[in-house]
Amino acid sequence: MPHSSAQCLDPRSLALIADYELLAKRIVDGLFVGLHRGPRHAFSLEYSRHRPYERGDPLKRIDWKLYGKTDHLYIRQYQEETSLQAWMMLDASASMHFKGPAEAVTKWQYATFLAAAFCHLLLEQNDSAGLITFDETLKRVIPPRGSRQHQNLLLKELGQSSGPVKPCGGTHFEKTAALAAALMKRKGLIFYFSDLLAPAPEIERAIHLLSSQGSELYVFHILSGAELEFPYEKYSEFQDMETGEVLRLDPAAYRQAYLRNFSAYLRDIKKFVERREAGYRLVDAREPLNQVLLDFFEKRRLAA
Amino acid sequence: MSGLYFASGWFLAALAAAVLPLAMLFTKEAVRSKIRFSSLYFLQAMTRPAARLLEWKRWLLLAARVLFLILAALAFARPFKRLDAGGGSLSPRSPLVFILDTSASMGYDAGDGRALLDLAKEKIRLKLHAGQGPLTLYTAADKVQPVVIREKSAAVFLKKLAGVTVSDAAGSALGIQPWLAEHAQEFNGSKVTWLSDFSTAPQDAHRIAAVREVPAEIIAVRPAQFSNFYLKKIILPPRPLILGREEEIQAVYASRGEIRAPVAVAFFDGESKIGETVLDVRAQPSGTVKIRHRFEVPGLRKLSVQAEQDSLPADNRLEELSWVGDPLRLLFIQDREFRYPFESPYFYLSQVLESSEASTGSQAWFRIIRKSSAQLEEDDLAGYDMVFMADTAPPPPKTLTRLRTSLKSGGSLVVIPGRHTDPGAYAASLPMQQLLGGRFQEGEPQEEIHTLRPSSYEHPLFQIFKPRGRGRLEHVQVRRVLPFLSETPAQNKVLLWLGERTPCLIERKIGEGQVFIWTTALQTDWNDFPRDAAFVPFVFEFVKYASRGRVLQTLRGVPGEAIVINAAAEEKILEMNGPGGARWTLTPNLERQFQFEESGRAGIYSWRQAGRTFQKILSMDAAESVLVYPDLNTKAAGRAALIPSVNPPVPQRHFFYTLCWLAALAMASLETLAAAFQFREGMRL
Repeated sequence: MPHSSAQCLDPRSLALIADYELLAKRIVDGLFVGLHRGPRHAFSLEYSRHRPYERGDPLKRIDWKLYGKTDHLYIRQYQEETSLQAWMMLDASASMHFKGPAEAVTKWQYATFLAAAFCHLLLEQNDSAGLITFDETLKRVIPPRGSRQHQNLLLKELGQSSGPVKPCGGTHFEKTAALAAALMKRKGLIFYFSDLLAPAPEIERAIHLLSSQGSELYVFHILSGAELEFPYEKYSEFQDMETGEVLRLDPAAYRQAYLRNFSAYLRDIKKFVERREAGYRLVDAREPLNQVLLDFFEKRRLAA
Repeated sequence: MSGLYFASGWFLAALAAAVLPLAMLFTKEAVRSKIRFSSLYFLQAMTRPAARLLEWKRWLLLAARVLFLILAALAFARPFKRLDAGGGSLSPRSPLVFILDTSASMGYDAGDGRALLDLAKEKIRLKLHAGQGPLTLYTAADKVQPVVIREKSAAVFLKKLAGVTVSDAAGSALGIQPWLAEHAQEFNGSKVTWLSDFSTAPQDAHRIAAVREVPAEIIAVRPAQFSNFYLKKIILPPRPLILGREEEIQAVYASRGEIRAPVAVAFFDGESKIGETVLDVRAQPSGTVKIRHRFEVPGLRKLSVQAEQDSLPADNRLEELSWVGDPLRLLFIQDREFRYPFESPYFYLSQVLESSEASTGSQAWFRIIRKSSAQLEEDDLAGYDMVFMADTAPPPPKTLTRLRTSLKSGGSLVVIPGRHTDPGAYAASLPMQQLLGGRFQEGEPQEEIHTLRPSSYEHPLFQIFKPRGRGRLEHVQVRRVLPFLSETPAQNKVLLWLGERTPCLIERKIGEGQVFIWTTALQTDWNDFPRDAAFVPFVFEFVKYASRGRVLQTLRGVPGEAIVINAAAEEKILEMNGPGGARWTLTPNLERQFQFEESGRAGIYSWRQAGRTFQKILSMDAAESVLVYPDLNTKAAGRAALIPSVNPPVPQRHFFYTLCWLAALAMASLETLAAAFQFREGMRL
């Protein structure tokens, strides 16, 4: 029975697929059903440009010819001549294992679906992809490769780590970003999957660390519908999945204030991510994956 | 809301409703579910700053709600209004309410062949007149029955009234008065008449007398001759009864002289009748009746007297406990010969005791034995009830050790100093020090003038010296004292003081027995006590008290009076024996002072505590039952007022109610404001 792309990539149906190789293939195939543009050019965009010289840039990269014409120093930026190197950075903290009352998948599962899809796409066109999972520190690091075996390794890793994980102490965004940045020798593309539940300044510093390496950063801010809408009604005891702390309150009484504060937080996050010229996408874990992927490609196309 | 008054169920229900907001709050706040949430970061950041303020406001609103409900209930509640039962503002067409006593005593012959109930019906008939309001009749025996008759027509009412008969139940005004008080509000505007013979058990009489006003007109339906006879108290000799000797037992009785037939008064030893006397009450309405009886069995005896002819014979019984035994054996240790008898330290003591012996003929209830310390070495000290050691040197240690052993099983040692007492010898004798728990102060006796002061007039030794009692101990002057230094003050209890600080008489418990230490001699060169009028009764009380291992400590009271028991911490259960063989098991629940309140019946209540038996005799001495009749007779008719014990009057009640209303309105306003503005977002009540 034929399925529409939206149905195929609905998190509920994807959650039933245990084999991540199959899952990634299904996402990618489902994504391009009915699209006019050739999908395989998604990552191989040849692009070069000039940008104003900044202190610290190597002198050899200054375009002296342009200087002669304009009396201004510009740096020449070259297009990637080798295959693209991409990193999937997944937040594996306990909060990522949260899912709302009416949701089929956890935020973590959703992030792995997306990461698997991107890995599949990259490796299918001979680019390389690596994986970093983190919470308070880096938990798992798989350097980027471009082989078929490597694709299998990545997808297997993503599939295995989607099981239940006990709450850990929390997430250290700044520290893990610094560690990850140190690992990234080459400029490339960083896919950052996280719920970013931390004070905004810490997130800002982490984003700054990742983006300042010269790599292209794309942040997928994955949140549950319950976090976005706070639909609870009865007087309840809320337990923090990361710290174990407990808070008793009447959620209905606090909903408006929560939503107001949460919106402000989201605005802040989006503002400073975009200030760093990084891509940002707020992802509701109930959304079909194709919508998220299409938005991503559309944004890259526009940027090109 | 006229039915809502302080004592009504509605009012109490309204108060209970005040608990509702609390219950709702706690129910609402009961944690229904636990949610594992990704992060409390935003929730905590949001709630933390306002949490304390919110909490205060929340409790404030809750208090406002509860107060509102309580104040509203108070504002609606009303105390009883005064009933103008005597007529007054009541119109001739006001409803008439009759409360007719139909207890068994109303079947009593009124003297002319009719029963009291018929007499009461006749009085009701006389109260009716043309054009009166609706008629209601309640009948009451032990309690008030529901409405028996409610009619508008006097003829029909009287016809139905004729069918009312006497019940088998014993009645008591005690059951009707509270009912009247409770329903007074319903009778507002009605003329209430209570018809009864008001015959009440003597032991209940004082309780009725305590409630002298009822919201009704009272008509006492009395026979021409009322069988009113009751026993007031038993009089026994003020000492133990002597075994094998004929003793006299008296009973005091009182009556109104209305009894034609002779009244038989029987005396009992336990359940055995030991004597009976027939009285002609018309000839002598009050007086004493006595019998003589020889007791052949030793031990603690319950003596009782009962009048067999009375309206309530089962209750007309008095009881008294007494010890039956051999005469007391008092040992005076005397090591010295005196030229003149009055030089003897026992002179005044023996004068009192022997004169008492002489005054009762040959009926000696004690024997005085005089021996020297040396003679005691081979003596059986356990055979003495009291050992007096006045102005003597301490006996040899072996004798003292044997004395201590014998004291542990009962009896008393009385140590009295004198001019030859050597404090050093007492201090040097270790067994003596152990017996006394201290020593006399070295040196000559102190020459200071003191007066006697009992530690408490409630103490059995001094009860008879209460103000207006026999003699005044405070008038006794003491000039010479040999101070005693207690080394174990906790065990040496001062019974009698000299002035403020110097002990005069100290009691020390040793097993079942006790040691009494005087610090002044019972001689005229030491004090005026032997010359004082208080000396003779004191000596008797002292001997009775000091030998109390056998003669029980007796407390007196009136029926209905709570018996106060000073329970020791280790006593978890007490057995209380009451009149007529009644028994109770009491659990003081670690309360030091425990009150036993089921003491409505006259008789002896006894209990054992710390190895000793206590008794309290409840008799009608203090509550003359005849007082009830003048108070409840027709002179009181027409008087009606609040009954203070049931419904305490509220002073300045207009102000009180206004205040309640204003406060309730303020609370309601606060509530409305809170609902309208929701003090703060996130606050829902």
